[in-house]
Parts: sequence; structure tokens; C-alpha cells
Amino acid sequence: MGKLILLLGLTLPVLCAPKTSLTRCMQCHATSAPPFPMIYRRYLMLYSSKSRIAAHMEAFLRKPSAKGSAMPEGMKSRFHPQNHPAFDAKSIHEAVSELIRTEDVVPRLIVR
Amino acid sequence: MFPSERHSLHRFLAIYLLSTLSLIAAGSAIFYQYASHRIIDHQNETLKLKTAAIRHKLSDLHDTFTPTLPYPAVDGIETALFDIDRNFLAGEFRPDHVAWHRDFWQDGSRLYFRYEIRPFFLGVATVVARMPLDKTPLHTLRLKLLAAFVLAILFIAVVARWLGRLFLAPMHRSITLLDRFIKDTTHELNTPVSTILNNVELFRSIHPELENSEELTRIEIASTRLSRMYDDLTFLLLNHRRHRRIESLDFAHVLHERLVYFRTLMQRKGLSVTDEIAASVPMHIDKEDAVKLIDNLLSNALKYTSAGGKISVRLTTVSLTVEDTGRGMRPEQIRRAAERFFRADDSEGGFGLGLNIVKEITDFYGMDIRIDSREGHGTKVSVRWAS
Repeated sequence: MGKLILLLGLTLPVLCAPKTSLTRCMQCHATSAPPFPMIYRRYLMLYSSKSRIAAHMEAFLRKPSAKGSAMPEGMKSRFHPQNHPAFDAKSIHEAVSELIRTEDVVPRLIVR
Repeated sequence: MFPSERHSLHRFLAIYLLSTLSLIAAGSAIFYQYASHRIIDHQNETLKLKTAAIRHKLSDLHDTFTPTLPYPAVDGIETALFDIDRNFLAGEFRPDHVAWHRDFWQDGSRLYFRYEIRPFFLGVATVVARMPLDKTPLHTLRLKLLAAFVLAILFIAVVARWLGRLFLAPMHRSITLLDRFIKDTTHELNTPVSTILNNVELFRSIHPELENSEELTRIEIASTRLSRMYDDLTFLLLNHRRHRRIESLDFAHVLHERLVYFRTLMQRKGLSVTDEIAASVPMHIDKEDAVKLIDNLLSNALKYTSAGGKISVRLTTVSLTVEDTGRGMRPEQIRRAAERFFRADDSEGGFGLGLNIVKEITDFYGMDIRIDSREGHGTKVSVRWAS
């Protein structure tokens, strides 16, 4: 019974969440793959601007590989980016745009 | 101190003070530039140190995943954050202009600093920080410089005066000797000249048949000339010590009197004289000054006009003009004409005192003197006074 509740607890948020371009990504990134906030911060630290982040993310998603991944070596060996599924260009572009929009840190900065 | 000595001292002081002050002013300006840059550099360093603190705050925020993030503010400065493509991200101010090619710049009364962040924590590549320029040290610097400048002026003025007197000491001795020589000479000149003139008159009264003797006339003219020189020298020597009896007199009457005397001399030289004299010109003036003024103008016209020339004298209620058709003067001679002992033409006798005496008198009474002359055409001297 306990196991059933745990399984429901993990899958329900994904199943009940509104369908977006990230829904498909969340199936893994909510559980076994690195979480989006962490990925976005990593890209922010390396590429700074949104346009550059988008370009690098899309390049990786079009042709996933351990070499093309921006994540640190420890994460690469743990999550195997070369096994990341490939998607069509439109889906990638929409997903990356949404990721950047949802994880953007600028609106979160509160100037007092 | 003699007037010429005072004049030289004033010129020396003016040149010395002006050149020294220019030098001090230039030095002060350079020092001010250097010192003010140092003050601003010091404040820039403070701005730089404060701005560096933002790096740690950004680093901490980068690893913070809360829904809101506090802006990494630093006390005493305002900052603005930019990404690598120079897009404005967030900030306590939004700069109108960023000097991307410089680290420090100044805009009015604010100092700016551009700080690069690597790696890009939160995507921030550049922080532009600003703080108000503290003008108090600059004001203090200006006040200190001003005080030093004033003290330097006072010191230099004292030194300049002392130096001036030191340099002028030989000139003072020479002038004193010359002055004493002229005094002694004039004193020794008076008795023989008076004796000659008295004896010529006596001789004429004893021997009426020699009334028109050419030899006696020549002796009389030469002695009169010597006597006038004596008068001029004593006038200049005693001018400042002489007690003037300023009274109301008819200047036209004095001019008529003097013309009677000069007309004879002018006619003997073959000059034609015309006059146009107002009926009555009342003036407040010492009679001796009036006579000296007229005599020197007429004497100059007589001296520098050749036989056959013309002299015209015009007196109105506000001016006296003596014009001749003599040899005239060049522009540089006109400028120096009123200097003591200056003679436009050395071929004529005299000490070069005439126009100097005229100038002294016109200056004393606040009159204006104007000399118009053309070499080879003649000279016109006008003296004007308030009506």
C-alpha cells in the first residue's frame, strides 16, 4: 500500500500537470535526470546571455553526446547525456524557450 | 624717489610680478591637476574594492534556488548587472551610458566602475557600479592652493620691491648727481644772465643812438634765451615744492601779453603769425603756469618753423591751439614728445623741456593735450579744458 502511495505521489504531479513543451522532458528530469534549475544555472554560468544559452542547449539536444554536454564531468558520468533522446528541431526550440522562460533568474531578483 | 625712478620701479614690479605670478599660476594648475587626479584615483580604488564584494554575493545567489533572490546590493555604491551581450539584467540604477572600453569614468559628480565577472554567476558578465564623487577633499585642496597663492603673491611682492630698489640704487645715485648739478648750474647761471640783461638795458638808455644796434639785439636775444632756459629748469626743479597761487584770470589777456613778446621774435625770424583769440576766457590757474604753458607752445613753434613759415594761434573758451608749418615729427617722435629732455631735432638748442613742462601743467589742471604732426608738414598742439 505504501509503495502504491509513493508511486502515485511521484507520477501524479507529472500526469496532472498542464501539458507544455516541457512535459515530455519532465518525465525524466523530474526523477532521474538533472533538474532543470540546476541545468539552467550551469548554462547561465557558462554562457551568460539567453541567446547563447538557447543556442548551446539546442545544439546539444539536436545531437546529444557526453562531449557536447555542458554539465560537469561528475554529472556526465552519473547521468549519461549520450543516452539523451533526440527530438525534432521545433520541439527542441519550444522546450528550450520554455525552459529559459520558467527558469529565468532576472524576475526573481528583488531590488530593495 | 624721482618720477622716472618711480616709473622704472613700477615697470619692473609689473613685469616681475606678472611673469612670476604666471609661472606660479601655471605650476599651481599642474599641481592641482595632479593632486585632484590622486584624490579621484583614491575614490576610484574605494569604488573598485566595494564593487569586488558583489562577486561573492553573486556566487552565493547562483547556488540559491529559492523563488525570489535578494539583489546583491553593496553599501555605499549602486550597481547594475549586464550579461555577456551587454543586455541590462537588473540593477539599482540603469545607466544611460556605459564606457565599455574603460574601467573607470566620471559623469558629472559621479564615479563609475566597470567590473567583469568570470564565471558568469547568475549570467552576470559585467557589473557597472557608481558612487557620488566626494568633493570635500577637492574643495580643501582648492582652499589650500588659494592660501598658498596669496602668500606667494605677498612674498614675491615684498621681494620684488626690495629687488627693484636694489637695482635702481645706481640709477638713483646718477639722477641725484644730475639733479644736484642742474641745481648748482641754474643757481650759477642766474646772476650772470640777469647782469647781462640789466646792462644791455642800461647801455641802451645811456646810448640812445645804439637803440637799434644789431649786436646789442643779438646779445639781448641770446641772454633772453638763456634766461628762459633758466626759468624752465627752475620750474621743473621746484615744480613740486612751488606754492601755486591759483586765481581767476583772463587767459585771453595773458595770451595777448605773451604774443606781443613772441610776435617780435617770430617776425625777426621771418614767420607770419595769425591769431584768433576769444574776447575773454576766464580760468582758474596760477599765472606762472599759464605763462609757462603759452610760452612753451609758442617757443616750440618758433624754434621748429623755418623762415617763411606760418604760425597760427587759436583760443576758444575750452581750448588753446598752436599750429605751425614747421618740420613736424614722425609718429615715434610724437609718442615721446612730452618726455623730459627729449628733443625731436638736435640741431636746435634747448634741453627738451618745453612739452614736458606743458604736460606737467596740463596734468596738474586735468587738461587734455593732443599733438598732431606730420614730418615735413608741421605740428598742431591742442590743449583742452573743461568749460
